[in-house]
Amino acid sequence: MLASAYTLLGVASLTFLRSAESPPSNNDNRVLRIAIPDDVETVDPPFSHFQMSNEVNYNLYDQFFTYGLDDSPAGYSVYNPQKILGSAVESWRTSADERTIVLSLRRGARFARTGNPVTADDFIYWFDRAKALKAGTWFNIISADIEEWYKTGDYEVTLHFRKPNPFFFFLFRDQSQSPPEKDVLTRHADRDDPWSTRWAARNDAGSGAYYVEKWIPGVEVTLKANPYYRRDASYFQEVRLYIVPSSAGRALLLARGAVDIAEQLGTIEIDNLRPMHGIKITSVQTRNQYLVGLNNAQAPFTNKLVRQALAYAVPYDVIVKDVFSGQALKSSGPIPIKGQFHDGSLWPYSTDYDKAKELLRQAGLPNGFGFTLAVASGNPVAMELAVVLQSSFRKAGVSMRIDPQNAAVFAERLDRRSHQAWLRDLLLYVDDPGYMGAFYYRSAAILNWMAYSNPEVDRLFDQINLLRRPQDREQKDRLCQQAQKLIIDDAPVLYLAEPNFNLAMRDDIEGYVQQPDNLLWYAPLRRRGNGGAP
Amino acid sequence: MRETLLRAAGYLLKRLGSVCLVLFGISSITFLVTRVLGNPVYLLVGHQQSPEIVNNLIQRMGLDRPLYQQYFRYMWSLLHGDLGISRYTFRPVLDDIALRLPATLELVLFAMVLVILLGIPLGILAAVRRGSWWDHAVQAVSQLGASVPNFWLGLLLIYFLFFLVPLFPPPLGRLDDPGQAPATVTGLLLLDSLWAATFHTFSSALRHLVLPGVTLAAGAVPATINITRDSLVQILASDFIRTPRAYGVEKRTVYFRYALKNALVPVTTVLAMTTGFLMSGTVLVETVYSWPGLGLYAVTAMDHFDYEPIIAVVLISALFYAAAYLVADVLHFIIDPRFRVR
Repeated sequence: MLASAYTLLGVASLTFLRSAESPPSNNDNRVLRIAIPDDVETVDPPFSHFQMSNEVNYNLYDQFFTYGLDDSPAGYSVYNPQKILGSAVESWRTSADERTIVLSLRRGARFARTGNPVTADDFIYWFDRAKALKAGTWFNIISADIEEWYKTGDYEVTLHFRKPNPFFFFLFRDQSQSPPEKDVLTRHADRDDPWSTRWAARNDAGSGAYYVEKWIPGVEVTLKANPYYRRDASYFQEVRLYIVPSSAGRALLLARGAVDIAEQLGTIEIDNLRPMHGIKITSVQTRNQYLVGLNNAQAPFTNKLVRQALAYAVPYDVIVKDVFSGQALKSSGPIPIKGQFHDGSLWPYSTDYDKAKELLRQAGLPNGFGFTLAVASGNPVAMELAVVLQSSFRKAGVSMRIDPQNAAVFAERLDRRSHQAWLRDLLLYVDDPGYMGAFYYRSAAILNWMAYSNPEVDRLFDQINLLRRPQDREQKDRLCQQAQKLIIDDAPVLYLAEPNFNLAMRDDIEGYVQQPDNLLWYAPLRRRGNGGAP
Repeated sequence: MRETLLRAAGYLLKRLGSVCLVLFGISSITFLVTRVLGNPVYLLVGHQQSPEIVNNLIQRMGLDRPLYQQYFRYMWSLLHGDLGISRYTFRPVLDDIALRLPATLELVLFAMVLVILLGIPLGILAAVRRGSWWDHAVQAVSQLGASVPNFWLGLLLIYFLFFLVPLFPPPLGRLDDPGQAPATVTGLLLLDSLWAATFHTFSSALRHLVLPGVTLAAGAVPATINITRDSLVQILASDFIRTPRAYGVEKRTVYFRYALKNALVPVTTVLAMTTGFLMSGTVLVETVYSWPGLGLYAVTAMDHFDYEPIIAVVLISALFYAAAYLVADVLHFIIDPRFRVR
């Protein structure tokens, strides 16, 4: 009886499988399918904290400014931070004292859902909302030293700055710097939520290249092209974002052709996909650096010689070859290799254990020393790097304890400068040495997690940030060199490697644009062999 | 009869009381553990931080209050059925759970059906053919199933049955096209599509369910096989079975009418435990198959330090466990007369 039951079950299963359709293939040429690791957190840009939400918001909203693009020989385009272009803003006038900028808004720009024009009222509402909510957007406003904003015409907004600010344009190309439709948001406001944060978290109201057509939490987000979008119309009329948490799962979907692009794959998946037919891996050098920050206010890292000794004990080649499978560059200073004003000739360090021991001897530590390196758990690359460093430092007589910490605890202690040493990556998405200095290396910088202080470096960055005209380039170059030289000599940070940003896609997808924050911009993408323009 | 009913009611009340205590304990422990995980504010603000922004976020998340106040506030809300707002999805946790629970229930129930269909018959087969190659084969398969981690089995099945031989659809949720979902009656797509008589949707839902269901069930089938087998072997060796056999009662009647009924008591306990096991197994299986259920919701919440959903999912899992044990106890009460006189 049992055997008969199982035979019946087997026959039924076979019949079922034979009737099963093959997996959906990407037949619709105007539909772009992307496998993403996480659901979208929010479509209200000021509250977006994670990469996928930032990416979707970048595509749903139109930012104040954008960068011009340069073609790269590798077949994709890269942003050029020296070419600031208007996006939602069409043009601007700066006063002689650089404390006032008048923004002329782009006429003809329309919100995706209503078709209403984007006006000065929407921009003013955006500033007021940012001030009231004090979320991410507010950081950019205060960092740009903007103290006042007012409407000076239906399509004109005037900004007043506390002092001339060199970062305004860089900061206002962020995904979060993008006005929503005021009338729509105010319609959903109530006494408890006067700025419609609850509604705006799940409903977009932007004028970007796409709008959300369907959002099934945890499953899929479908975007449709904004019919009023001002730029060249998007080739893909629909973008489907499938939420696939497993990196291996995303890679298999791409290999099988069920998606066109798989985002945020692990090194193993990228290596496995690379030789596959029909797949291409776009591998781009970015300004992402893996760093070990040494707490300059805690012994023994108060001693410059100790910090330099560790810089000589870093196994630079091993890291690039073994940890990043050759898909990285050896770092050579605080400004990443792909950054403006980087000068590799200033870098003196290489792996030299004898030199490291000699420096430790000069520092009064002939028998070496021990310290603790904090690493955020859940970051396998950082953990692997820590193990490689631990083994290498031992050869110089330094014993390093690895302290894997919960990511929240790790971040909190970074802010309090309580780590003795820490390891993490850092993407310098604003490609400007002055910005880097003001936020990371000045003594009072908010992200100076090394508690590093050198008054001469502070002075140099202050000077660099005064040089904003094209004709200042030569002087800025000279000052940047001096600042880099001092930081490299002080060695407040060990610069390990700069891994490539990898994006795996089907080989018929073209038009990729490398953004400074690695956000994927859907509008310029197209499918080869199908015309190009819609 | 009245006395038996009274005893049953007393027994049930006692069990319900202990369930409430367990839930209170679990919610308190989970609350404290999530707070010990650290302050997520610095992680959330990332580079865009200033003391003003950090303080504003701390205030908005209610983390500026003393821990005991946060705790009482949370418990008060919980008692009023308010599980809080997810900081990641910006929706009430209760709404999120209502959206995701049916997906998990469907997966767990499907896996449970597989466990019962495979575990009990194979256990019986191994017991009645004790020492034969059937017995050895079943035990070998059972041991293999117990030793394979389900996330790995999931990846393996996807690799072979989707990538190499595309017999099953891509591991992308519950349907080929989420737009074809039938009107919600139970939230279980198989039932709802049958109810709506949309057989294409039923087929799509079933094909999406098979691989995650098999993956989830694979870890639970061995225990069911072993318990069924061991319990039946023990019963078959007892006097009350040997006697009718000696009197020439037909083998099948002895096995199914006398032996199996007695062997079912430990099996129901194992099935209750299996329900809890399957519920916890969904965390990995749903992640591997992008299955939009509670397990994946919990993982996403943990990845983003979203406290309220974590506590809610733990509570629901505990509730599930407790309910399964309660049902098992009631079944024992019905099946086994010894429970009624205790």
